[in-house]
Amino acid sequence: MKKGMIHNRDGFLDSVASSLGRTRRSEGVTVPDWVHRPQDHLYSHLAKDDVLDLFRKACRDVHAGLVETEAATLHTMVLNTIADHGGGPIIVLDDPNFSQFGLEALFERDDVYVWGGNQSIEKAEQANVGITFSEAAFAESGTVVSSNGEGKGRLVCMLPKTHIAIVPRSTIVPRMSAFMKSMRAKLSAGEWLATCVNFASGPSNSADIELKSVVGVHGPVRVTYILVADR
Amino acid sequence: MPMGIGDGPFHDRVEEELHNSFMRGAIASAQDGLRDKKIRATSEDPNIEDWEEWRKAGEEIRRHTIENLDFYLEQLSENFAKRGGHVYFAKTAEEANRYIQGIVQEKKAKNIVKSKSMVTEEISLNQKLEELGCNVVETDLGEYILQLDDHDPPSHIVAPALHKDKEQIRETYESKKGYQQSENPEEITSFTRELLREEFLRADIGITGCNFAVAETGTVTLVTNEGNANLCTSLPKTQISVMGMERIVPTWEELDVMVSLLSRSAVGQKLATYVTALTPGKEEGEIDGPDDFHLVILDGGRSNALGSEFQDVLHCIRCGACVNVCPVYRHIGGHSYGSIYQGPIGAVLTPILGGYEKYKELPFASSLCAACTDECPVGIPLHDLLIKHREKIVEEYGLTETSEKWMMKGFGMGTSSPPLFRAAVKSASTAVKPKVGPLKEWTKGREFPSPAKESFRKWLEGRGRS
Repeated sequence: MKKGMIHNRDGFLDSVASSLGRTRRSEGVTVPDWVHRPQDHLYSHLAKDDVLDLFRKACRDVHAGLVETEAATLHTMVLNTIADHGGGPIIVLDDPNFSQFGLEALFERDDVYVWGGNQSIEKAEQANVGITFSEAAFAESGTVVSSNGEGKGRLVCMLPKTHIAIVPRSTIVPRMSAFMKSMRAKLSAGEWLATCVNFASGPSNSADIELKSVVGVHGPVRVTYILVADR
Repeated sequence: MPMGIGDGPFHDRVEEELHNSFMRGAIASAQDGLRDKKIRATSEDPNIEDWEEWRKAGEEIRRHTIENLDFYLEQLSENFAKRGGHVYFAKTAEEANRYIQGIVQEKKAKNIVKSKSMVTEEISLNQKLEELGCNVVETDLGEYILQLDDHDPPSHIVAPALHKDKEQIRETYESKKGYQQSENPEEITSFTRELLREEFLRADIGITGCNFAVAETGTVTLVTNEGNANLCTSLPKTQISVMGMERIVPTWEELDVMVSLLSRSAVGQKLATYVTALTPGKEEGEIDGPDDFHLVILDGGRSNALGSEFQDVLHCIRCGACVNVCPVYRHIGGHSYGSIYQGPIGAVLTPILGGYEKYKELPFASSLCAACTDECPVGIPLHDLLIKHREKIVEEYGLTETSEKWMMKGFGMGTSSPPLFRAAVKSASTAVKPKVGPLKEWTKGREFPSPAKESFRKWLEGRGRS
């Protein structure tokens, strides 16, 4: 990868160091063992079922619909949810999870476009429903995490009016902290960081007019999570 | 617009705003609402266990980061550039604007979408781009409303259009965009969604601020509820993110803590609806996202605080919690401060970035109740910093009012001379009247008790004899 340009760094940072009353530090600084780490021990007492309950409550708080299903009935649940939200057109990620969870039939439908071709953005804009698999979910805040990449456009969960996120139960963790730790471990092992890691909690909203909360601004107007027990 | 808003002396602005009864009602109820939300998401949320521990964690992280700012900015720039992004370190607003104008010209860009960014307002970026003939559209709903209304300045860090009621907003939409529906916020929002969707789709460049840059990976993190930052950074082919140089964390683990503090303090949510971490390095099969990603790191006067007694103000994460508890802000509103940064943080930060000459009244617009210090999620001692500003202002400029100077001099003379003191005490009950003379301003909104006819000393002397 060709390195990008860096302009005016030395003069700028020399002046920062001098304002701080010392010489410049380019190395030798490590992140301390923080004295205060409130995020570490939260929820450690919770059993798996309690974590799920926490997730269910958080989904209600962030106005995300939640339906639950077993792996065997996932396809039916997806179809029902699409219908509940007004049907197609639909856009999905080109994500191996779809076939791993028995959803390959979706790709055959006339009203489904799989992200990746040169009409992708146009199709995402026209779609009524965008369907993704989340790679992680946070119980505390009703959050689903997705990283982009080839076949996994950022816009599938952002442009359509409805976002359906399929959440495998095993990917739910109590809160962001566990995810950050595991992500940093992967990055240290040389894994590539996606250009966009998105933590989304429910539909888009704003309270900019008289502080009255309105759901559905630039991102999806409606969000449903389909919680699926793992195969 | 630049950091400073409006002209005219501070007291004139305050006088005008005090008469704006809609604004005062809106601000009072907004403060109550936002403050309650914060309390429910922080000290009253049993799940996070100990809010004070979180505040200490926030302070610890910010302190270490600012003390090593040069190191982390270098690490950030290296990692950003390694992934193919371009970094521009800008000491001044002029430098930042010149660089950004250069990109716009190189790309022959016409249409630009922006997500909310206070730092880009500081440098008057929109104006500089409009000078090049660009169509610059703010996409945050509150900022869009203000932009439509002939660039009305923001009145609150988090809810910039707080001072407007829905009828005023409806009127603006009607006159500027031919809006024919009602003043219902859902309808206005839905109309805005459609309008701005077109802008997102045709934009050549997306410009954002930066809530937190992550040094260890060269990442820019944006925190929104509306999803506009996502669209600004996924559709246009070029992205420019502008950051105040202090808006940085060392690693993704500190990002977790800071984003949690920000979301709970600013909007009472466990996490903002969209927390989006963006890093350069678009790969072969990626269709959306920018081909070119630029990061502009701005000093803009922030280094005035480094190494000084005001350094802690750079810990600020722009949550607005201090604004939401300030009794002075409650009455005078955001525009009175004459700055895009208002309330306690505005009163501390604006003079540092913009100088005492223009902003010396701001640190005095405080009752020093310290509610702000108690609320700050990263423990900035705001009221202490206001006192420090006052000390420096008086040292540099002397007392601000001539009348105050004379009063102090007179007080000094009167209290150091026993005959003068006795004469003053004797005449107090007749001479000291509310609503006139030296007490006129003080008693405009307050009662002031009349001094007793007999002084305490005289009374005590009389008692002793009998």
